[in-house]
Amino acid sequence: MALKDSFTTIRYFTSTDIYFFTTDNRPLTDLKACADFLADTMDARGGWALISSGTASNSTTLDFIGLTGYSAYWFMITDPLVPVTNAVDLWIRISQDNGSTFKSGGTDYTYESYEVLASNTSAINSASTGAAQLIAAATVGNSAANGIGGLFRIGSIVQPLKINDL
Amino acid sequence: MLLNRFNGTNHATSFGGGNYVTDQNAINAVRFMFSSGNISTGTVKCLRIITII
Repeated sequence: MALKDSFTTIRYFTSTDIYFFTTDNRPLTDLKACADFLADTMDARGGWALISSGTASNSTTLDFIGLTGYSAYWFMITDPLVPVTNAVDLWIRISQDNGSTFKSGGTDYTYESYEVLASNTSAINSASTGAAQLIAAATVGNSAANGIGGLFRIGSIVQPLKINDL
Repeated sequence: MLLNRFNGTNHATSFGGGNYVTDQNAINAVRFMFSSGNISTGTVKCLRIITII
């Protein structure tokens, strides 16, 4: 039986505090048990958990550091990234020293992507077996109505995180 | 990777695959940038999926 099944309810007494009760209505004061209950509930439901967020404001880069502990991370562009310069490519680079340096050697990356245009019936292939970055998308426009959005995954089969899986 | 972009002329969807980093040491940071110039606006959120069990 999962821990969550031993509880009948979560009672909200204030806007900031949550009280847990056991099936026989005894208040649960063990913090670890409360945390386990929440974890069980979240796992049973599934979903997304926010790790961190970055918002650009005429920024050189958006960096995410400290990616350890999970075999996959998802990056969701929730508000389109708009470049200052028109018709530029979106690049992705990785770091193996937690952001002190980012790999930018001429053979550090292999990438391949296909772009499907609304105005064209065939996909445009973009690929390289030796590049200084992953090119996620090409010719992004810079007006207010332009930009790029979407979802990018980085992951590996097992920890630690090793392979860029786009 | 699944991205959508607009450049004033073309709406496009990009699908990526088979991408990797030559150095197989552990990755612990990711950078987004443009090939030239700064990022004017935009928000990226780093997420993980809570597995359904």
